[in-house]
Amino acid sequence: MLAELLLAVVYGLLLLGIHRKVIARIQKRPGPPIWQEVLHILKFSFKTTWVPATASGVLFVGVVIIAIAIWTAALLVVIAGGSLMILFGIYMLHKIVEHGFGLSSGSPYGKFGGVRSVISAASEIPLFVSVSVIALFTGTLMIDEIVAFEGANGPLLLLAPPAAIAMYLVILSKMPFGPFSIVESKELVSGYKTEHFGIWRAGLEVCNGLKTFVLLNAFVLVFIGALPLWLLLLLMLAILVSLSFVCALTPMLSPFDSVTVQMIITGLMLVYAIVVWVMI
Amino acid sequence: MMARKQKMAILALLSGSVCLLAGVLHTIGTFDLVAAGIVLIIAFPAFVLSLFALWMAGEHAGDIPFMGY
Repeated sequence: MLAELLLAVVYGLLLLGIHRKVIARIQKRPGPPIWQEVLHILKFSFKTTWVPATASGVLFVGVVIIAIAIWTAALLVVIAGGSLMILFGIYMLHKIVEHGFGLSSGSPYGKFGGVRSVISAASEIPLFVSVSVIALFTGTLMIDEIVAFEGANGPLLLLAPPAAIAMYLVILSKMPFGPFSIVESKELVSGYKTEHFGIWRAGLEVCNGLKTFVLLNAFVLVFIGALPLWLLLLLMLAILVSLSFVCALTPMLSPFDSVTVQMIITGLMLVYAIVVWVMI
Repeated sequence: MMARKQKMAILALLSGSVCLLAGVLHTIGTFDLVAAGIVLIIAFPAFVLSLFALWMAGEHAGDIPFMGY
């Protein structure tokens, strides 16, 4: 279990590095090395660290601990084959954590990032519908039972492709430099994490590595099924590269457009869920 | 400076040992996944931050903060 946790952090960080590299190559830039995110952690962990005088100290530090803790919990839920609802709850908690990051700092950039994280909660609504369609097909929300269902009936990716697309968009909304990355757009410097530096930022990067690993792992498990470790890691890489292509070729949307696009996707998914419900 | 470093070293050692112990006990079957998971959820963030704090650079009282408009 400890080995899985360390693998998730390191592989998640490498995936984020590959994400940056692929985006750079598509945009005809050399880009950073793929281990850049690991270097980032080392760099930030060696920087001088303090809590800004304008910050709420307890919240400023507490959100970093909570961020790592909730994604550790999410990884354990995936390993244990637990409920998708817990994963969904953790995903929602992450929004509150982003909000906490922004508001605790006392910086206007951080606060705007925190406010935008609330706006971007619209990205969770397609997840609602995606989860409900999975429940309609499989009759369960437990990951191990969904995997068993896929063993008997084939991957959900083929049975319910719109649900997979909705989940894919949910993951896309969490990827850096993507069309929905409004919480950390450049006009806000680094958004909600602007004032978190030194070991606080290094801790946040550990959380980001875990989060990337958990979301991609959950996608493969829920829509493709149980696979050998090497194939799982390879498929996660393939999905990430496809996400990088989308991020490289799509400009960042304005907050209004981001929410509008996600609501349209939710509407389409809702129609699909109703059709599935009527037919099943 | 030394006192703070020592505190962080103790915290890193303690939380790291707890993580390791939970992992080992789960592997040999003494701890079930839920119990080991709860221990890891608490101890792993503490280990990560205390480890980083252990080797962080010098300490200062704070910057001149931006006070807002």
